[in-house]
Amino acid sequence: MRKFVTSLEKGMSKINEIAGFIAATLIVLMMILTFANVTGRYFIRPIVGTHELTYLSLALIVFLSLGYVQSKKEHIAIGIFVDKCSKRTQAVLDAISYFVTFSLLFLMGWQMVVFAGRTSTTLTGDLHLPVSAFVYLCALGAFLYAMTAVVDFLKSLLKVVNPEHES
Amino acid sequence: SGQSSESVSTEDNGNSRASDSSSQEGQQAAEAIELTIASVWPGPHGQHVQVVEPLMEEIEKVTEGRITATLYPAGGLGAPSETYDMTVTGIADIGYGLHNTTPGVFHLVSVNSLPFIGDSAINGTEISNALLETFSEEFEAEHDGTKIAYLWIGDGENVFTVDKPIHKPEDLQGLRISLTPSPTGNAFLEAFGAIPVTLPMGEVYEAMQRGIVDGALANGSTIPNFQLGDVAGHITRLNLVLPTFFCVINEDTWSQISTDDQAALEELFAAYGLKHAEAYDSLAEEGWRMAEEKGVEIFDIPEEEKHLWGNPLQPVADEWIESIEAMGLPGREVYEEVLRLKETLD
Amino acid sequence: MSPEMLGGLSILLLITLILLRVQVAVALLLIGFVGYSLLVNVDAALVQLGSTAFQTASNYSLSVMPLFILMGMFLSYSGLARDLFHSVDRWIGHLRGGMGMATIGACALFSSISGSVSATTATIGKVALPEMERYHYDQKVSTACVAAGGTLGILIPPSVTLILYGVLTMEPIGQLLIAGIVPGIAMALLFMVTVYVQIRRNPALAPLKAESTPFREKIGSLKKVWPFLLVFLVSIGGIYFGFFTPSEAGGVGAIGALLIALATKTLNWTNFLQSIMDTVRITGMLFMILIGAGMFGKFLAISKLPMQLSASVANTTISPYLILLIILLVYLILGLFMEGFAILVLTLPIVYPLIIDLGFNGVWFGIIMILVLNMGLLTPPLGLSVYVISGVAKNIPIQTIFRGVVPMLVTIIIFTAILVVFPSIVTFLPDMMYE
Ligand code: NA
Ligand code: NA
Repeated sequence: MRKFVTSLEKGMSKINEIAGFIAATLIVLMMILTFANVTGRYFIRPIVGTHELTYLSLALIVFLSLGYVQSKKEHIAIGIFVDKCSKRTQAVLDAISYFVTFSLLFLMGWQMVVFAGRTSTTLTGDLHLPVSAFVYLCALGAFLYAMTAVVDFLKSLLKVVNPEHES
Repeated sequence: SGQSSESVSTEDNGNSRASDSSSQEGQQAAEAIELTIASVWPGPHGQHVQVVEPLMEEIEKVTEGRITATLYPAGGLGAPSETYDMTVTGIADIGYGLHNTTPGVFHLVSVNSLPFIGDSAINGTEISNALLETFSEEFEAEHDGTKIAYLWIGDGENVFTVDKPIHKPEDLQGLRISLTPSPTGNAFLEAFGAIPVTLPMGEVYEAMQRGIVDGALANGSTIPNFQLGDVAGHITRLNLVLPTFFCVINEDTWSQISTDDQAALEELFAAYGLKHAEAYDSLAEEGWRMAEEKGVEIFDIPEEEKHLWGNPLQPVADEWIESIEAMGLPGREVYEEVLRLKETLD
Repeated sequence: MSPEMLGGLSILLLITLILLRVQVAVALLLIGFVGYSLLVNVDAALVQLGSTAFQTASNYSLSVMPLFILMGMFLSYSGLARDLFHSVDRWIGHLRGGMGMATIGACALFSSISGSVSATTATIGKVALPEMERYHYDQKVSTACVAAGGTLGILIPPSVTLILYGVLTMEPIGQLLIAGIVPGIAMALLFMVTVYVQIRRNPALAPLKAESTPFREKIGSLKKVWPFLLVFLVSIGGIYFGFFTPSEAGGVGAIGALLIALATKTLNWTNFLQSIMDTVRITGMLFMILIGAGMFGKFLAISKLPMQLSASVANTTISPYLILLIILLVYLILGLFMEGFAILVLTLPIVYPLIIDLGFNGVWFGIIMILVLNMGLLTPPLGLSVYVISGVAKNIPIQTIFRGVVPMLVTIIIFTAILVVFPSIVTFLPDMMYE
């Protein structure tokens, strides 16, 4: 069981690294696009579709980063009280909290898939890009976050069984 | 207040309304329906004060209190572009929104977004009402998942410039003009050599003030809201595009309303499209007044020069017809009907 | 149970969950989702869960956040910002709390280009916190300087929040932006005074530097500062001379920072990768909270709690100033749990007409609103500024930051009171410009 969780964690963190790197690349592209649009506006012409490419990239950046942030444990949580509890109590609370995280993010991803289906004909104003394609990718990001929470849930369960084991 | 909270607690937006309320409430309350209304305007907007809020009172009156409503202004329940989807899914029972926030969804309705369709909100709405009557089946099919309460048209887009007066089409050459995403707006600016800069409406004021753009395509009714009279030196009124609006009702919600009340509501709705249009036209009038007070030069295109602006944009209409026909929809028929209505209703 | 009661109860539950170490974003999502399900139904809540998430993340105006964070990362990983702080240190570091005051000053300057609290806090925080750490500043003081200084981001123009206020209330946006200048500078000075007084009373919070630097070295240190100033001037100048919008300034600033870092050979490939990956992590963390806040806000909207709170204030016949005080207290409470945009959208339709009826000035109230929202950014459990800081300074416990900002909160409250007594501090500049 412990071995299984460890290899699952390794796998998820690899996938999250890749998703995070794609998000980082998009931020760099967004920076270049903004700059090119501004300079283009004065010297040649602005880049058509900058506005919609920017907000669509932003959505991708946000969702592709969520699993990465989870695997780096950087989603904000306040441990003032729980930090003082016993290791087992902490593990139980964490297990519950990760289970809730998984459930909500799974529902969110699923609803984004449904949302994409409902808005399958909606296009962006300038470039006529299909909005639903971006929503599907964002849903994928929500699922990565949910899957990473599953790994953390399993790790917490292991800690409930054996609080002293360092993983 | 106890009663109002009771009715709120039975409020819901799906199939469960009837069963929930009849099991939990007495006979009186079983009939009570509280509608959730989502709109695209900010709280104190004229469209709320002059039209939507009076309509809410009227609804309560004609249904003898069986139907009440709560209004959620822009952003309360979701973004403007989500209004239609929110009404389909039942997040809102009634949605007030703009067709063009979701390009690609409404095909025939977008005929109203072609260049130079109407001279004012009222004129445009008369055309649109007549069109809705003739093509009711096609228009309803396009508003899939909702019942159309009514449609209407707002006041048109004009050219606002900071320094340079625009009297002839060639005056636009080389100017950077901001616009909200719009195929017609893009085609218009491209046709006359201007450079389209897509910006959200909230950023237009600053972009003009700072000289990021030389001007903007904007509606007269946005002058009071966005203070464009402060930053524009010249306005050329040409009613390039008129925005099209919907008021739609969630289908489940509609089916839970008794036939008598449905009839009463339909009767109410019939007059309301024009009331919205009147409110937009009067807001635009207020805008022109404010602009004139600020010393803005307002220029109207002389009748005999209108073809100079209109003719180069004919390809926009031709392309529209072609793309709509390609979907198997009567694009040409609708367009020709619009031209005919334009002549007769002018 | 009435929806309003459910709304109130949900706030208590939210605090409980957050104190149980549930991720803040998840707690907001959970309460928002369950509450929405109870008040409307599960199907509607599910729809909101999906659409709120995408809508929040695809907001064009928010794109400036990751780009300014990126700019801060480039300047910080390249070490240029550290050079700036060395220079500042040489100039005023020998004063009591000099570095803290310099941080606030840097925040004030950066604010005038960012339009956003998170961007200011992240950029200056990333640069200033490790420096103050090096000089053994007490963590409560160093983080408070960044947190408080960062709130100037939406007070000193440009300010996305003030523009939203203008759109919602139809107050003139130009006047609103101009109205922020004087209070913004005054607020920055008051923050500096607060730090000074604190350190005066307890010198251990910020060790005094033994010696001051010779004048020649002070001048010499400026040589290392020019790249930072150049990026800064290009960004400020670009907005003020109208080359780009505040939303675009993030992209231009980031590319400027990158180019200068490359030209001075201070940024290698490893640091570049670290900069962009750090930006991704902070962006994801912040937007997840915004998504949670969005879902929770929609639940509160449908519970009508915010509207009810505002409306109950309207039903009294007491002095306008007492009503104003009650309104501000309500905002303070909402600010504990809600994000500023959501508060504005939900309450202004009721509060703004009331404020005008009471005879207050609409532009002035816009600035007062900003100050109250700024307090909300610094208070637990939902204190976005504090979360941004904990994102850039992982070694500092969140509770330390929340404790440290208390004196700054008191300063904001005092300043708000001053503006209530002397409203012309806000209104004289816009009045002068437009008459
Ligand atoms: Na600012
Ligand atoms: Na707070």
